[in-house]
Amino acid sequence: MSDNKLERISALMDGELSSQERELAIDYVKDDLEVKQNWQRYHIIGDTMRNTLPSMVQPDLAEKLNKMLENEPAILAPKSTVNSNKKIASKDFTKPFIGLAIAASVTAVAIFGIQNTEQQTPSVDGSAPQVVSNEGGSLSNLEQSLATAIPKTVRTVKYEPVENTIEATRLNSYILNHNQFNSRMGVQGVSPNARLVGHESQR
Amino acid sequence: MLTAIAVQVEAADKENSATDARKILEKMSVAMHSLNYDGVFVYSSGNKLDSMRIIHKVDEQGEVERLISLTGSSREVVRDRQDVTCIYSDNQTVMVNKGAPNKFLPTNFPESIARISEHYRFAMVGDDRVAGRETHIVEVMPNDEHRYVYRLWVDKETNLMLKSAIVNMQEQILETVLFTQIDVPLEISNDLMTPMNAVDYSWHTNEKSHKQTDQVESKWNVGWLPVGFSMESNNQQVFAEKQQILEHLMYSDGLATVSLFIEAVEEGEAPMSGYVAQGAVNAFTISTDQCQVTVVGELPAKTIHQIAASVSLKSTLKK
Repeated sequence: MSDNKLERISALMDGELSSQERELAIDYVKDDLEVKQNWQRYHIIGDTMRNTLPSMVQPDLAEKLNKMLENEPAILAPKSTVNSNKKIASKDFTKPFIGLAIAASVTAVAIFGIQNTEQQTPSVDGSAPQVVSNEGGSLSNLEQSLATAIPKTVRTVKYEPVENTIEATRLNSYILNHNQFNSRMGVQGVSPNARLVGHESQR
Repeated sequence: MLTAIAVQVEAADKENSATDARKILEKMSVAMHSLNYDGVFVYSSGNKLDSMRIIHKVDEQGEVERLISLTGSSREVVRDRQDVTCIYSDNQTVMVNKGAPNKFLPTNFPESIARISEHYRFAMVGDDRVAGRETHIVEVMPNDEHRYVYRLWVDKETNLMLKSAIVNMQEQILETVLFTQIDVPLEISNDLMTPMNAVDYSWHTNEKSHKQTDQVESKWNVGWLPVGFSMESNNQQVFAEKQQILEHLMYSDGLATVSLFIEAVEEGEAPMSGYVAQGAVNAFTISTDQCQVTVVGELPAKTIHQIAASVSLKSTLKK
């Protein structure tokens, strides 16, 4: 294997690649058995350094993931749907992250802390539910399988909250507004009111 | 043959468990609104932990509820038949919401449980002790992955809810209410229901009631919501911070609620995007069709995001 490839993987792990480069690098991992083994070794090294090594290391995890993904067509699909959905793609908030499709990415994203907002793709004409629920279903199956395969700390693909920004302040005031409204609907017992009292005001 | 019987027995058990769980939830709903109680509970949401006291009084005039923070700055919420009043001592503000819908009637509740049962399954999942009292644990499990799981600990004697947890599909607990102590007195004195002194505070009253007559046809098309969500209210609100009108749509499946706030992006104003979470409540804001769409609700982040991304201007209004 060329040093170049190894370098790329290392850079991928460190989150130093642009999204395009990431995509390429993940393609390497996906397609090349030797690279894949290295990828695994790197995981283990990284995990050890972070003290998150599972009590029983499963060296064939990547293989299992691949098998699982072969049965997950809906997950492999989003790339095309994303591209067809110009409306969302044109906004900066949720740039599709390398198709999110690929086997390794589910773990890689989490393991290397490349926090990311999952791209969902309701289509513009409102025919979304079917697409979306298929996708959601598959992802959650996969997440469940992953849950048993790897430790919790490295498992989840996360939405990353904004902090200490105008957006955050604003979103928090919307949450307050929602909770206030909710509390008079009286749907869930003490919980909505508890949210109101629990809310320290922002000013 | 034996397997067939076993499967049948299992199915019957499941059905019994569901029926029992539903009965307990119905009794709980009635108890929460018809009993006097005075208790202290711990409320945890995300990484926040607070302690609060709740005093609930019922007499011939109806229900009054007072919720007081015991940690942090003093804050309280008083709810009676008409108003919800929030008092925040840290910024000396009082907010009064007039015209609460009359949803306190206990008779409403079996109906709402019937509604919940269309999208969630009920089950008895065990017994536990909370605040020194014996409880049943009832689980409310959604039929799809777009909602959260609710677990409720219900007092065997009084049917009051003594603990509740909102849990995601990965079994992470997002929000918990846990009573550490509760009294169920025959009477509660009016003194206990008097809120803290807030005469010097700045008062903000929302006079507008949210009645049917306020409803205007929305300009917006919400392309996707999890099945079973229907519109609870639709009104124009003035957003206090910006003095700008925004459209507020609220949907519920009988248990979880979701708010959509839609407002115009003024010229020269940068569209915003972002996400925050507070325990079980997730909020997304994105911009679409020159408008800022913000979705807030106690649903998984993914669901909230999908709802936000599905909002568009109704095609008849597009140029």
